[in-house]
Amino acid sequence: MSDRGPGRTAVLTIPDAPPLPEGAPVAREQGERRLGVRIGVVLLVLIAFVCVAAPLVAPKDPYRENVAGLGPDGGPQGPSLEWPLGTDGKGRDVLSRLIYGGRVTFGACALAIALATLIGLAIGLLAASSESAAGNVLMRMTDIGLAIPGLLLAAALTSVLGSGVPSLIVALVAVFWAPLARVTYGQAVVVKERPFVEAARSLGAGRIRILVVEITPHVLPILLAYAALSVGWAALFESSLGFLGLGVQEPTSSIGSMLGSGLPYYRLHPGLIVFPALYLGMFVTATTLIGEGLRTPHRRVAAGKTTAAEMKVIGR
Amino acid sequence: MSRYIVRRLLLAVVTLWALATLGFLLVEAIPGDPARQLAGPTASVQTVQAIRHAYGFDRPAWDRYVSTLVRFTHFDLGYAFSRSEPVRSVIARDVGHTLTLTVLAFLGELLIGIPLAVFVTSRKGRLADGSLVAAAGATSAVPTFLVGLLLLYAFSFRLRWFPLGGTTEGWRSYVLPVLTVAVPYGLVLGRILRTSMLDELERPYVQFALARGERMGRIRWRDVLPNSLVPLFSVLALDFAGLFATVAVVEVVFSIPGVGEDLFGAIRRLDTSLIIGIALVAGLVVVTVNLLADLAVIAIDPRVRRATLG
Repeated sequence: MSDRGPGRTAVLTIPDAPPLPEGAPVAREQGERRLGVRIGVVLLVLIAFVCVAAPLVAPKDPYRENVAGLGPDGGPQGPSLEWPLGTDGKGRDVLSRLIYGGRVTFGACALAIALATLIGLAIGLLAASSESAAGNVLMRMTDIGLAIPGLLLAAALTSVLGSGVPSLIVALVAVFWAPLARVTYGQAVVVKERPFVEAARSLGAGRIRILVVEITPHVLPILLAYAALSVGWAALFESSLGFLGLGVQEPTSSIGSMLGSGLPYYRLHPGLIVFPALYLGMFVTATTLIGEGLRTPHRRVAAGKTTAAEMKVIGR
Repeated sequence: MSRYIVRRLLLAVVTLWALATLGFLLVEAIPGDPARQLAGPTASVQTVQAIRHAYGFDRPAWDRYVSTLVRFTHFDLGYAFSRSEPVRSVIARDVGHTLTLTVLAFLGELLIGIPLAVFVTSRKGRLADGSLVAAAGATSAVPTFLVGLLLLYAFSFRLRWFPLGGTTEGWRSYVLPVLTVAVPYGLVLGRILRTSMLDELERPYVQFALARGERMGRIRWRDVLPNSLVPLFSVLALDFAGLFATVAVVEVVFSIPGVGEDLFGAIRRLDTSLIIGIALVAGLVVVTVNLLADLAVIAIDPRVRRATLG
């Protein structure tokens, strides 16, 4: 199978297409998408930098409770030069907590979605390639997974498993594997009927080889687009769980736990809710722009059920 | 037709069974002695023994599993110790508020999303079009309960137009919670429907209707909209499921005594049977709505009927 060598791709390279007429709708939409992806990537790189370099960037210790950080009424303080985004109910620096909290939330969500994507890819591929009842059972399992309201499943799981990052990750994986398996399946079923798969089979490629070498590369672009979208949705889940008092808990700071602990003060100090929300919004916007941009129409072979799977995840 | 319905019903039953099994496993996974928890820390060893026997905690796991499933089929969801009453009566009393809110929010979603999509498709590529896409993106980038907090802060706390929470002030108590859920979901629906309608507008029958002298507005509402809406039924059904979960969280913001508030309280008190009971009821709602939506599509759209039923 030398058709994957670098020499062949050069032959297949298509010369630059003639420019489309100015303002052609397709070109404009594609341009918008590309711009969106660019903005998303810039935002994400910024956030990733802040997360990785948290100890260098954060002006204060996020866990240190300062008496000087409390207002005259013993409550939080508004933003000032000393405390750029104010302090929380225990006199801790909100900016530093946010920087460290983003690390926990976004890191946990990225890890959880990476796991969910691997599981979804494996299940979707196996279900699509198997002609026997096993494939059917796998897909019915996925349908069941899709039918369970995600937030409630995550709430039940985290309340039983206890607070902390590991139980949050387990809950997120339990919610997100099913839609990702659905997306994989939808693509793989269509791709496996293509002539090149037939060709590979007639050349003697085994089932696993066909799945990994032939089908997976055609599933990955759309799957990764949905994975990017899912990371943002997972972050929204984390914030809802934290608001309900689940998942990552005080004193560990995460976007969700900050929102939860800021709730009692929000009337007098809206910043305790608004700043974490803005940071979260930035992250979700970035993942959405990237995910939507990658999900260009020519890359999606099958529509229909995929949209339903996608909506399922939005039910935050 | 009947074969498809039977298969679909079977899937619904299997889904509920999987949910119930998950619930059982979750309860099993909780560390600690459930009999001691029920009896309280001051009870004697004999009392704990008696409770353990009475509740069957001393029986083998598979035995308890079967009897749990049997209990669930009778809607006996266990005892909510944090409320000192059976889970069933807590849910029976409060699920009404949640369902009312969910249905109102769903209607609101349709009332916002559908006209918006129809309006925007007549202005493709112009300001209104871009604004819808941007607004839908912005509202789905923050969790819904934050939208609720924002509305609560502005309209109740600052402007004092609506009550700060509860259900005591009639329809005025429902305005903000319903808007909180309906606006973000409506914008997202509008956006999805817009894409669906733009595809549909390319179809030849639209050209034909125009050539025949129909007005574009009429074609849009009468022909294009229904054709684009029916394929979205399964999306709408999943949306309803999402709404139910979202409403549960929004209830906490607005102190509405629905199952969401119960869930919040149950989480605080670690009352697992109540948590799992609520999750099971939510699952029942979701499975039912999905089933109804699939059957509705078959009833409405002859193309789907032929494709599914052969």
